[in-house]
Amino acid sequence: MRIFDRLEALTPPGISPRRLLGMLAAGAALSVVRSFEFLIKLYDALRTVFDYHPQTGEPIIIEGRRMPMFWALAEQSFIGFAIAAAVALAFIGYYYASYRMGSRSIYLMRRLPHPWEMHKRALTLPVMGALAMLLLGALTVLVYLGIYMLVTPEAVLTAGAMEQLKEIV
Amino acid sequence: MLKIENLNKIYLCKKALSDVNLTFTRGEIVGLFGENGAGKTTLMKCILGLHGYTGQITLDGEPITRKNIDRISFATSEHSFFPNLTPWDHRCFYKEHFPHFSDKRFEGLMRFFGLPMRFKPLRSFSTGQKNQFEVILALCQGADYILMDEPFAGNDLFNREDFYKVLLGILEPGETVILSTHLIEEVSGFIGRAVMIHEGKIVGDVTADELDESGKSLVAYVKETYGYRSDRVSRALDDIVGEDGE
Repeated sequence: MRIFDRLEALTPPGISPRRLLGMLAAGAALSVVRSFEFLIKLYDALRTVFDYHPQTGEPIIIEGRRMPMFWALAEQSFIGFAIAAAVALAFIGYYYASYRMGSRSIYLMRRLPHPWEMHKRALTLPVMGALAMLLLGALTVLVYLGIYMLVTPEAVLTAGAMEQLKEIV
Repeated sequence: MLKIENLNKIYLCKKALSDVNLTFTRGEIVGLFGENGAGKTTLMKCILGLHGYTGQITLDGEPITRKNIDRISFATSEHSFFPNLTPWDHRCFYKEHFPHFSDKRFEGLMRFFGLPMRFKPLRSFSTGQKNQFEVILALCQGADYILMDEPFAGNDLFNREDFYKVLLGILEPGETVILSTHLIEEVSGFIGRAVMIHEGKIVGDVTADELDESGKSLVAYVKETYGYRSDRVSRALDDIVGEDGE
């Protein structure tokens, strides 16, 4: 509750942070679910480079087959995080507009002795929310990168793929 | 002392204020009169720094900045409170931002006007109650100069009379009120000075004492200053309802 009170001090007076926090939570959840697409594509790609020994059932690399590069597999799997970050930033417009909704509280905000109060309350949470979404997106990319490196034998990596992975890391 | 020198304000191509020179001293109650669009609101917003302008506005010789802006409060018929907050929340917000906020005056005025302190957000108040609350905030901020722009639009006569009495009763000697209103007759009994503005220019500035000496009422002075023609209505009616060819 105390944390929530603190967050309320970072939104325009009378505007609950719940809507933004709810959007961020939903955005994060949907983005993570959307990113599972990468795992499905990775599984499909692995199936195209491996065959199975008819007797032992052990996986054998098919001659000449290569795994697509990480980003070629990812395509738009992580777009959800960028969209959620953009929606969080759109709250800046809503928060500034709230100073003119139902009254002209902008007159009060603009004549407060503390010069940044109005902007602090309009910018802080949306910017922090957007950064959090981007950070979560980056973490998800790193986790999937780890999975990609773990399950993909070096022999099937496309030329230059290792360098690209190192660059991402 | 609040001093306005050579104040000019232009909206796109229209001159909203033209060479305004005024001085308000501590303890005055000033009525600011003028027709709609005369520049009353613009003048107040320039004082508060809500509009850009050319010229100079100083408070005790210093330009009005964030350092001394808390010495000026503002009540407007547009309302500057937060509609989703309760009066109690406003009290907390004002106390946080205005160090001279008067709790005692706030509670007294809230009680006097019978406004609910908690649980009811401002958006659920009637227009009259909203106006009252807007004025209460301006009076309690702890400001030396209290600007009020048509604060009673939507309040009934009894309500307004109550307010005038309260205002006269609670003001400290050092508090200045600048009241913009169309209700000239109603406020004539308690203002100490009348400033008239017409098309962005100051066209009249008179104290109550000067009016008393001249034997004129405030309404007569305002009409005279604006060149109001008393036969205007009858002439217009004659033109409208008079027979053709007469």
